[in-house]
Amino acid sequence: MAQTPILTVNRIHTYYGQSHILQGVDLSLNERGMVAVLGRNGVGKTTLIRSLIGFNIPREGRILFKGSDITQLDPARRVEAGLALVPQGRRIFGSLTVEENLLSSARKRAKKTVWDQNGVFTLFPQLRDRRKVRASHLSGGEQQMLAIARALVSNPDLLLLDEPTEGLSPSMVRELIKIFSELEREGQSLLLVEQNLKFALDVAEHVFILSRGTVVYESTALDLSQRPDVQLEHLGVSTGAKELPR
Amino acid sequence: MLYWLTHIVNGLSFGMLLFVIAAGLSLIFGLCRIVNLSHGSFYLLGGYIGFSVARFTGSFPLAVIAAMLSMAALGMLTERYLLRRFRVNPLAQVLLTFGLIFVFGDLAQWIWGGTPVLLEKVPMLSGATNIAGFSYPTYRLLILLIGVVIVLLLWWILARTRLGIFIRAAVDDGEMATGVGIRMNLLMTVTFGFGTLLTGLAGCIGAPFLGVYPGLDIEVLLYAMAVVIVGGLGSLKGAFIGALLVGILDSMAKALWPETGMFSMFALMAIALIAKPTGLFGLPMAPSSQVSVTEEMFLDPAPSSTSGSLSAAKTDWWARPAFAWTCAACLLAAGLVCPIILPTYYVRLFTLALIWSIFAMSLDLILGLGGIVSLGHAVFFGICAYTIGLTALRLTSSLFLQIGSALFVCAFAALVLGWLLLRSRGVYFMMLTIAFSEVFRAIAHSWRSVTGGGDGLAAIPRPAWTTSVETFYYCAFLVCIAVFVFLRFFVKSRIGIALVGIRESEKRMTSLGYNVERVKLLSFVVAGVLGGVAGLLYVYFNGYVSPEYFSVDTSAQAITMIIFGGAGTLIGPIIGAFFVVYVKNILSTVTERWTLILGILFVLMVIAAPSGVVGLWRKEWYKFRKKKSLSSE
Repeated sequence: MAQTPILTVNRIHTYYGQSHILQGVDLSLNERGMVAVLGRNGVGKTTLIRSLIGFNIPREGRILFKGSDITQLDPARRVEAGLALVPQGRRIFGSLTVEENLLSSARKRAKKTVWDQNGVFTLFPQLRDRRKVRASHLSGGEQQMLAIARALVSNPDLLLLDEPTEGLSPSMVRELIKIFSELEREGQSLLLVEQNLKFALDVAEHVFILSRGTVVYESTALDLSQRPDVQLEHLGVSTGAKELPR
Repeated sequence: MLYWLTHIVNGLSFGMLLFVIAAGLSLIFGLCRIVNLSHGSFYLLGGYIGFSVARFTGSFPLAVIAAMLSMAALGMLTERYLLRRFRVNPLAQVLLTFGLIFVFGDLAQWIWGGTPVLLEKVPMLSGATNIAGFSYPTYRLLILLIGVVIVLLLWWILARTRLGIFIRAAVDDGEMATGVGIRMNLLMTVTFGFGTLLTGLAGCIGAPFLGVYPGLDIEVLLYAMAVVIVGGLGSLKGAFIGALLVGILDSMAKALWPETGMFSMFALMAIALIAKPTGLFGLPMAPSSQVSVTEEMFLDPAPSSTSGSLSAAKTDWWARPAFAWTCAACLLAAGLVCPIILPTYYVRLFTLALIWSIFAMSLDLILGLGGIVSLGHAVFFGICAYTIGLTALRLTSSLFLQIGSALFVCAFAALVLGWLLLRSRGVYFMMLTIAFSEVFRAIAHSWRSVTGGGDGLAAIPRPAWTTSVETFYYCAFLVCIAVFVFLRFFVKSRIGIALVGIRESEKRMTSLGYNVERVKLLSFVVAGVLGGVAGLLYVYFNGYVSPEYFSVDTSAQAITMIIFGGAGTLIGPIIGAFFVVYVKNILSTVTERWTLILGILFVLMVIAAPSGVVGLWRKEWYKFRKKKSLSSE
């Protein structure tokens, strides 16, 4: 691998009070493309994202982003450095309008400014029609679009996605697959944390599996799609596409 | 007609002043999720600084600017260096701002003295203006104008600027706001400073017609809290409508019933509470805005001393129950013999400490055990004291009847207040308890024909035996032990256990089938009556009653005792009471700045040792025993 990784997670340990959630997670992400972190409920997927964005600071270990140590930075500084988050449960600012939600995070960067309000409205035309509407009045799918748009307008180098398909209709999920593929094509780096195996295999190139607070498996998405045994063991589900090779 | 019009316009201009104050309070609450109880102190300091600058430079506009900037700076320093370290513990933050009331208030009295000062307004503004045949003081019209300007300015900032978007986003979801790159720490400091800037402004422009005097800080705080209790916290609209309502009602009521006008404030808040416990336009109480009870601050009333892996040390002599009993017996014996061996002066001092112990223990029942943080427990102290005073002076000389009626009135008041106040939670409850105790104080102050006004009731006839220092000491000693034993049983009863459960998680207790409301109300009434017992002893001890019995000082002293000793225990408040009474006594011979020292002590206790002496002791004790048990293995 000649590329320098955009994000390196080095044996981080994160706690909620006394509970030891992440127990030495190692990850490395290359620039460009989407990486998915899979795992069952309660293995620490969201905690991983929260550690990356800075909502929870790991007690041990280091997080390197574009070569510099961001382990102790507060979230705002990490966003400044080029991270952006699409959080679990969307967490759009409900009392702000669509437009104001985008203004809350919009920032220009020296080298590239791809996403401005117009850009995301082209990507999500529904949002343009509802720009003056309070975000709490949007439908679930529209709120998810807004959450993604809100993260995009900060023009991040790495976009963190925490279960973006949660609670969405199948047609909306298909829409998201299209959008994420488009972002990947444009060279956006994405880190997806998912329970939905099929969705992750559809959009990601590389996958990690998290179990009980550590990374237990790593391969390309293609490889994982052909390993129902791994899927069953660590995720308890299987796409069932291939039979077990005997 | 003209008479009423004048009062309405007076009320409007007072309401606008209140709006400027309450807007700051509300803004700070919305973003930082704490109620700045020292808000009135910033008002007071703003007024004093304006006064000094105006006197020095002769320029009123300069005074206003100085008041605004200095209060903004002081507010930002407070947020940055005191409050920020307690981001995860809103209770500690609110208690800190509570302690600051006394620090700022007494500092101001030190610098500017105890007599009221009046800021002179610009001669141009001191006349009257004629509008449609109606003549009205120009200055008050100016206040109206400033109020309107600030309403518009705030609206514009919040609705139309990027800063406003940041603030509203942060109010919606503070954590997520940092996650989109908003620098919350900076935003909080700036917002806090802006809130205190507004209060400083109000303090300076209000000074020419309200004056500036010691005690104004609490008065202003009371009005500001009434505004947000009616209008709701965290909402500009709420602050505006609440301020106008309170302003107009207050000036009408004071014109109609000069003696009991304060009742209107009481009634207004009570109605608001019954109608909507979070005010007309208040933010819903999100879990994060509830005063969260932290393990660090509240101790287990009776920790099982032989729990878990530490039982190895059980065989040591100092860990046996017999040792604890011996200690208790020694204390008891010391308590019994001390009037015999000590000079009268100390016997009186110890009597006082015993009375305060009862009061602090009674408050700790709801505060430490139940996590129901009342900052107005003095209400029951005062009610009982006044009932004794009034019955003794006017009705009967029978001690039995006096005490009986006092306890009955106290229980009844606790029942009504508990029923009203316990509808609210967290910060609203804290504000309401202060507000109600201050309303009682104000009524006691102004209802001269019944309560004797500011002089209180003096020369209350007392039974002969109470004048003997020793006898009274034994009486207080017995009552204190009785209260201690009673509370010990109460804590271990089903209700006491349920109360601790409610402190930890009200929701869980509800779903377990407990009638949470009833447990809280019952505990509140028990605490109220026991607090009343302290008030009753205090009257017989001193022979007079004054409105100050109701003041937040009284409550604050009890809270200092509890925090010093260790909240959630029974022995903690007693240790705290003896400490505070003793220190106060020593200091009073050296300096008059007792309130300042109390305030600093309070703030330091919250910062350094929120679990008090008992907490520190237990921590060291466990450490010591752990070491013992490890080395013995």
